[in-house]
Amino acid sequence: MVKMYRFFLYFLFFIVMLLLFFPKENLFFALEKELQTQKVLIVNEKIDESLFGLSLKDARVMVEKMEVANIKEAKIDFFLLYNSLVLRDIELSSVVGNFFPTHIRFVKMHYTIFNPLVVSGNAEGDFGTAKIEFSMKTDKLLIHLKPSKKVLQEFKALLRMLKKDKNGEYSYEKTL
Amino acid sequence: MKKLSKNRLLEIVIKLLFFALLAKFIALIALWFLPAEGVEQSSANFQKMPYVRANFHNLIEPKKREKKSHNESKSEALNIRNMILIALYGDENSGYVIVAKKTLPTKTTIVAVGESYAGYKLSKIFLNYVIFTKNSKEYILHLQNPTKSIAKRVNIAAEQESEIKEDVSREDLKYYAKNPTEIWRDISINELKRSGKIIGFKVTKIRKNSKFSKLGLQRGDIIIEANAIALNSYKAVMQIYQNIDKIDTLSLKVKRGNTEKEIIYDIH
Repeated sequence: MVKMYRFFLYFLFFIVMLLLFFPKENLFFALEKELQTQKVLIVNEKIDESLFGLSLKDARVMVEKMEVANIKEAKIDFFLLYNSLVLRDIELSSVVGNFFPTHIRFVKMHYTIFNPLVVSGNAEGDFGTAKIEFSMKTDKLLIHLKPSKKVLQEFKALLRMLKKDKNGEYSYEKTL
Repeated sequence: MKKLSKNRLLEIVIKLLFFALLAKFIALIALWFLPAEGVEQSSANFQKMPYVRANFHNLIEPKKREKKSHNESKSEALNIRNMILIALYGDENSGYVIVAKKTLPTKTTIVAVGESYAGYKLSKIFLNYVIFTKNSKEYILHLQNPTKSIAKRVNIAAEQESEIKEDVSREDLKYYAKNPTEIWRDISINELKRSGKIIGFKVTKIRKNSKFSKLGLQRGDIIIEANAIALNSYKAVMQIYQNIDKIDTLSLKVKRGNTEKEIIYDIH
């Protein structure tokens, strides 16, 4: 039992060291290259590497060479057992503004190995609040939206694309 | 006893150092394989020459056109629908035809195969119709005849014509740009994919008596190009949408059945 306990401590130490030494900035570059194949570009960002994560400032997101969003701050933390991505102050392009409220206060996504096949999160903004769930098993994205008054009054076309449930909440489901 | 304890501590430190070095080694291997640079925006990719539709008629006679009323200028446009075929003589490769403008049917012109009239080049003569070409496109003009059957053929000719001109009010465009929900109430357009790639946008619904129903578009039309930009991505669509208030002419290339048509909207 003592041996097991000692092995676990050494293993934990090794993981902490690995996270500490791992080239997180380069890992982000690899992610950027992967996103580029999907025609998504993250440009103009200022990258800061921290002990266990990475923070980006003023990142511009382009989809098919078209600017869709400006992200004031993004924070990615790797703790192996629990990893998180937090985006703050997202300003969507005015093009999207005709279909969706442009300001998103935050999007928090997290992944834990205790639920290894699901990435979940929540978001809040002028659109209201949303719970996000992505199943890696079925490649299904599910968004539960509690729309704000603004959306209910001015973005009815958006709501028409969503399913309404009994509680007055809306959901969007898509297999990626 | 003290010596033993020191040895134990040293052993733990050595083990921890080993694991730290192992972690660093793995990180260095990862660094070797991971890219050293991120993706940067290439400004050249974002530049595109603006679409310009040259109207030489305007360049040659600008003052004359300014004086004309809107309706007059529309009827005088170089459009095969404004032409009538009065008589023809010859075969497929040689001969003459007599043509006139609908507005001035008495002012006739004789055109030989290979010659041009109002920008349309006479290329072939058949029994009761002729073929004009313009910009590598063929236009059929049927022989004018008061009988019903021929009149019907003239209609077919008009339908086969592959260039349609429409006028659009800038106020309407501004209204739709401000109220995009109204667009989707009046018209439904879905992407059309082939082998996973967008090849155009299909009109699946047009509300009767809406502004869209008067713009020459029909249900089932596949819009494949707008102002010389192939609509093979949402980016292309958004590029048009973003610049809609800056353009004077919008040209849509539409696939209708097996034929391709060009619908030109003069925005005023």
